Amino acid sequence: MSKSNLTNNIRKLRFENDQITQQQLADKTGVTRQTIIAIEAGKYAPSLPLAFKIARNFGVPIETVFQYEAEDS
Amino acid sequence: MNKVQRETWIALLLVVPVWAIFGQLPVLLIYLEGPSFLHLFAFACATIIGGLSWMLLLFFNRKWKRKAKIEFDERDKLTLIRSTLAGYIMLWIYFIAACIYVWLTASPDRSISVNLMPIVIVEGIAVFIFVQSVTTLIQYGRVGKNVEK
Repeated sequence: MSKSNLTNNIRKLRFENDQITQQQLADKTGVTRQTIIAIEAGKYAPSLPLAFKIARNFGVPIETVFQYEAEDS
Repeated sequence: MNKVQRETWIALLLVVPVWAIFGQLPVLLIYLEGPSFLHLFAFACATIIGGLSWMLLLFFNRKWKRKAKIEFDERDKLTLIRSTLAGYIMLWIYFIAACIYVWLTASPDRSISVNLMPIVIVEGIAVFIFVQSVTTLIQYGRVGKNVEK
């Protein structure tokens, strides 16, 4: 059985991009602030369109923002 | 707290009690005192008020309208789909349990009270809204961690 892990660098990227707030990122990507908080905390895996939106907002490839690791247990 | 959470708290604290309590009072009165126009009218009013209690959500949403540009997104949609499914499953289990209860408690001549039907239906609605609300709130979890002030 495989267990998947999705990690992200959103917090780091926010601070590297003029220290934009969670609310600003939420407004730019068309979601609520709670969703950005949940994604940052790794509690919610965003849809592919939202993941692309977030990556494009930072001007980086999607792999820079999200990392997927599959662990076999 | 976002729009969905606000609506869920209102449903849990206001809509569920309206259905569960006020929907049953007329049935209890009919059971104790026998059917009369006044009791049946009260039951009709209670169910209409219960059905219209969703209007409270519109009222509170207007009152607590925030400046946030986006109030509903894909995560809220997913949360509502899951909680509605949980509510539906629980409603189904409730109806099965109600049927078993009726079969087991039916009188020797296999007849049941006519008061059971409105009780089962109205409480079923209350069960559905209660489970949907609780599972919605559980999915959102505690707000506070990773929040920037």
